[in-house]
Amino acid sequence: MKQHNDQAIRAKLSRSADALEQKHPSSKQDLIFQDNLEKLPSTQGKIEQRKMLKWVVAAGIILSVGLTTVYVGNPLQKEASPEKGLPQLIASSNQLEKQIAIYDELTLNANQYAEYIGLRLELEQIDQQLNYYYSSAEGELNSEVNRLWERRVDVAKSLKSIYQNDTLVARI
Amino acid sequence: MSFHQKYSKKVIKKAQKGDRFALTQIYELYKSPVFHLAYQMLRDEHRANDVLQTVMLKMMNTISNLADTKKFNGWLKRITYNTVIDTIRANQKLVDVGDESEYQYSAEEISHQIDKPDWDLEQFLDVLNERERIVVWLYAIDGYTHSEVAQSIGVSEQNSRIIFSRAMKSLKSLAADPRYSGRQIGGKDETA
Repeated sequence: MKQHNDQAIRAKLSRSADALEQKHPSSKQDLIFQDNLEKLPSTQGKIEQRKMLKWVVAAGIILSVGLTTVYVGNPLQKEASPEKGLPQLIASSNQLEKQIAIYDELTLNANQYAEYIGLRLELEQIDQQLNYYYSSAEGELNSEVNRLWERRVDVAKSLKSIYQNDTLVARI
Repeated sequence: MSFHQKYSKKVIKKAQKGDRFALTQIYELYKSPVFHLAYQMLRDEHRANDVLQTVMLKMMNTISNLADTKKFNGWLKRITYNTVIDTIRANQKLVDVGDESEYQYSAEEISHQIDKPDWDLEQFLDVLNERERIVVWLYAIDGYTHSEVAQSIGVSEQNSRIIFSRAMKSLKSLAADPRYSGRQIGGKDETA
């Protein structure tokens, strides 16, 4: 079948089309459009609401987890701590003391030093209480001993943090 | 007036969020191009109005899915074509032309007819049936290939060629008839 070369026809028809008188819809169509537009929010609005609800729920979950972590502590860590027995607590405490020993308290400023003294006193008190329990050999107070060692680890961590803050400040 | 309108991306973005004012701005900008295109292919003001409202409803309901706002013009034009094609198809005017043979026309002769001072495209479109009109518009005026036209209107590529050749035959007949002074909307094959 013969293939036509329509290039010229297409170009001329296209030019003719460009020259056609522009047709416009009547103004009545504007009213119909506005009527249709009024009906739109019932569907579009629901989509937006659903999207918004999803975001609110997601934000609520994130906020709850964040606040729980900040005020209560990481729930995963809390669950792990009961598994920490006395030997682990003593090992942690000794490890922290070794780390603290490498620092020189003379590098601390006045405020840090005051805090250092306070924490050291607290540690001494804990040690005295522990000595008391060990010397009295009161086995039924095992839970109290455990609590004292936990407290000792926390105070030692605070003590260590004083030096670490100092190091950070010095670096800056 | 063509679909090559300068629009604000902000307006499109707002429209995607369901902003009524932005949607109205889009309607105001595109109502004439949409109506004009629909009218030229359907040659019927009432149905062109229906197409306009359908296109705008489709636009309002699906604009949020438009990922690239730069393609808005082409996207809306495609919706308009599809809506017109659906309208014609609803009247079962887009059936295959079967095994009819392609009319052998002379491109030079047709070009010469179009060059004549009394050439009137409106008149020509009036004598075509809807199937011929949409093929002429897509292929000759909007630059589609016969393959693309065939895909758009759901006929074979060969059918698209045959339909176009029949339109050229009508063009030749129209130009050759000195008595012709305008025909009724729809043309001779409209109700066939």
